[in-house]
Amino acid sequence: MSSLYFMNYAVFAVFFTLMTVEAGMAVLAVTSYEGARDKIRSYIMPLWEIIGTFAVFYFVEFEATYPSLLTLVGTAYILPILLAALFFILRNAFISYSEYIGKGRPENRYAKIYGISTLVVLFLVLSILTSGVSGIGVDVQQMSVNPLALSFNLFNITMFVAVILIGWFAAVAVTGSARYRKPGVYAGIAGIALVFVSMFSGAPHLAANLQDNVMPVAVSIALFAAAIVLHLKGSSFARYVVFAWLFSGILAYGALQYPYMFGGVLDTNAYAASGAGAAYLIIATAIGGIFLVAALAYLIYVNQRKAGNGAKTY
Amino acid sequence: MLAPIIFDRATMGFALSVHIVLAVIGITLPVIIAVCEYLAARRDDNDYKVMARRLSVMLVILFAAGTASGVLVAVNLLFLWPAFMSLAGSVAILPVYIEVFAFFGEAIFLAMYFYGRGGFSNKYAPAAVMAVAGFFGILSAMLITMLNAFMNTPAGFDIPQYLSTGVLSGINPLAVFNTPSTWIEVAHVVATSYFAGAFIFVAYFAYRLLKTDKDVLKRYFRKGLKISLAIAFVATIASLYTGILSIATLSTLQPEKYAAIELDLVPQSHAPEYIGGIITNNTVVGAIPIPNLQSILDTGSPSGSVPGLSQFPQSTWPTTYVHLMFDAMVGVGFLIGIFLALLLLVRVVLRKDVLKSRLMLLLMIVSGILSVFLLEDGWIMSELARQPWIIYNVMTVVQAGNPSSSIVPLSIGIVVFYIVIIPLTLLVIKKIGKNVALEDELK
Repeated sequence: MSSLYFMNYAVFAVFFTLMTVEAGMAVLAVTSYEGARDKIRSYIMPLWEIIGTFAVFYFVEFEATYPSLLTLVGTAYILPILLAALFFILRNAFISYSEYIGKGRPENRYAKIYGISTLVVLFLVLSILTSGVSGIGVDVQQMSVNPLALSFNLFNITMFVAVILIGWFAAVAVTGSARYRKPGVYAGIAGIALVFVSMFSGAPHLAANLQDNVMPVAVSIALFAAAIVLHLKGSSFARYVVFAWLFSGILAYGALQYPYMFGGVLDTNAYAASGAGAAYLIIATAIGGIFLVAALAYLIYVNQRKAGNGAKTY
Repeated sequence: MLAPIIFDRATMGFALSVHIVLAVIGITLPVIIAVCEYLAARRDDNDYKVMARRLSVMLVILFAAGTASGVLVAVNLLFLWPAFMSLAGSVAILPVYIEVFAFFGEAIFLAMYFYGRGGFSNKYAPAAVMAVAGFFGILSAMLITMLNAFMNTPAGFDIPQYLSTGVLSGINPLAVFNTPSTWIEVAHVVATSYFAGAFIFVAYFAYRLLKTDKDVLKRYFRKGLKISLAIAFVATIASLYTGILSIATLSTLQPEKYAAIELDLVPQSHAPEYIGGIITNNTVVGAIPIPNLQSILDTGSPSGSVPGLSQFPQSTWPTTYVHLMFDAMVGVGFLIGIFLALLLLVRVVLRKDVLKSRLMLLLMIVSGILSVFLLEDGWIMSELARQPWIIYNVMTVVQAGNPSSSIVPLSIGIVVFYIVIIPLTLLVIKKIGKNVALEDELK
């Protein structure tokens, strides 16, 4: 796998891990906000802006790593990208409104609008991503897409349902919700099964790559099993394993896809940045990544101090 | 039917005109909040504590809207100008890429400020954390401005080779950090961002001060007004200085732009500065000339030469209406400068309290409105004066634009969306502000 492809997919994996968990939180916000309010808010409130920033990060990183693909992406995907951006604005607006409007009906209403907006963003983002994998609804030569075929095909719908189910399990595990402990596990297993069903039916070229990528797939399945066991035991460690599992699973999917897009007709290596530009991108990502990890670690440290250690705090 | 390129331009212009206001508020507000936090900690003053808390709620909601509108601008760049982004993606993407980390820094430190409250071991830490968030905010603006400077003075690739073959070669990805116009443009953007942002809050606090008759509220708004005015003073001087430097570099770096802004039809020495006027039938009409002034300002000598539009093909002349926009910018900036000097004079020399004068407060509100006009007028003028180029002497706007007619309904959709979301955001901020009475918090 080329280093640029790996870097690009790693950033995507971080973004989509967070997005998947947020999708699960969004389902909880829409279906049972009153009951799960505190658990949802304790996860989402410090992170929603950072998750959004990861979306921007991936977007800009794609522009930087695959500049020659921008004409195709910018021309063909206008409608879904723009719609996703508009619903992303709604997501941002209503999560921030709900935070300060005060407890009660307006907050519940705003949280539900936030949840629906987030799920619509997920559906649109997945429509773009799955068409990039399968090529369904895309005419690469004409640089155009059929928006309906792009979104409403079996491959995309199956993947959307799969991500919702996986996200719901992840959200239940991350919040440590005892109420949905077993249903969460069933949802997670069903979600993973659907990923494989969609792969064999809609993207057989990925399935054909399975035997060459046994290790990354096996690692992610092992982490999934570990997450289930820890979650069923009620261990708080489960949430960390869930993140590791999602991250490794998405990376494994990227390994299966490498190096092709659009059902195997476009080799990404032919469109990647090269020379000094690629080298500086890798350096910038490494330095920026170290800063990012350090800043996030400090954020967690401050939050834990807040939980109380006896010292005087401000 | 209008050409799709018209919609490309209108959509980008509209999105940027909204984003730029949210951006300057997002840049300035952390500075005001950091000062409030510092003063609250140092003086143990509840007014500043309350002010920091209330302004931070405003910040988080506007930051959410600003982030989202920033995403929309990034998306617009990609789908409205795919050819431009393809070139910029290969040559000038590094500042935009690094900007994402600055953006992360801002988001993380804001999250730390909002959700880490009660977890700091030093009483000045909240002020420091907000100051760091503010630093990352202005760093984002600086890095994005570098892409704009690249558009004005492209560098970092073999331009003659690209123009003759369309192939990018000789790429130096670091050149974008130091094009001939980069640092002066960055300096001017930093200064004017704080200028406009501070004046928006000068207007806000002045308005609230005018509307209240309660002493406790007056005391509170006066404190906010003093902080905003202090930032506005410094930023005005910096804007003026960097503005003069900026226009002085234009005559050599972008002579067509300079000539259109100054309404110079032909290159000349002893050039007059034209106040007002337009060009019709290759003649300057309706302008008031001030003899030699332009030559003096541009070269330091009355006999200095300045460029003229006739040196360039008429097909690449920018619209000369930019001259009127330039005059409006200089004129309004001059008026605001005089007003600030007057405030200083009354306060320092006459020892009078300017914040007790209704007239002065009214003028502060007007200045706030005019500062937003200046911000919008300044960047629109600067962008229009580069036309027809999107990258000067390399790529035209028409070459860069998306020719698809599918742009039209999308453009209309974006405009309608902004028209709904911005007033809604302001309404929510107002409603949240009313949830807890300010007077009760201050007691």
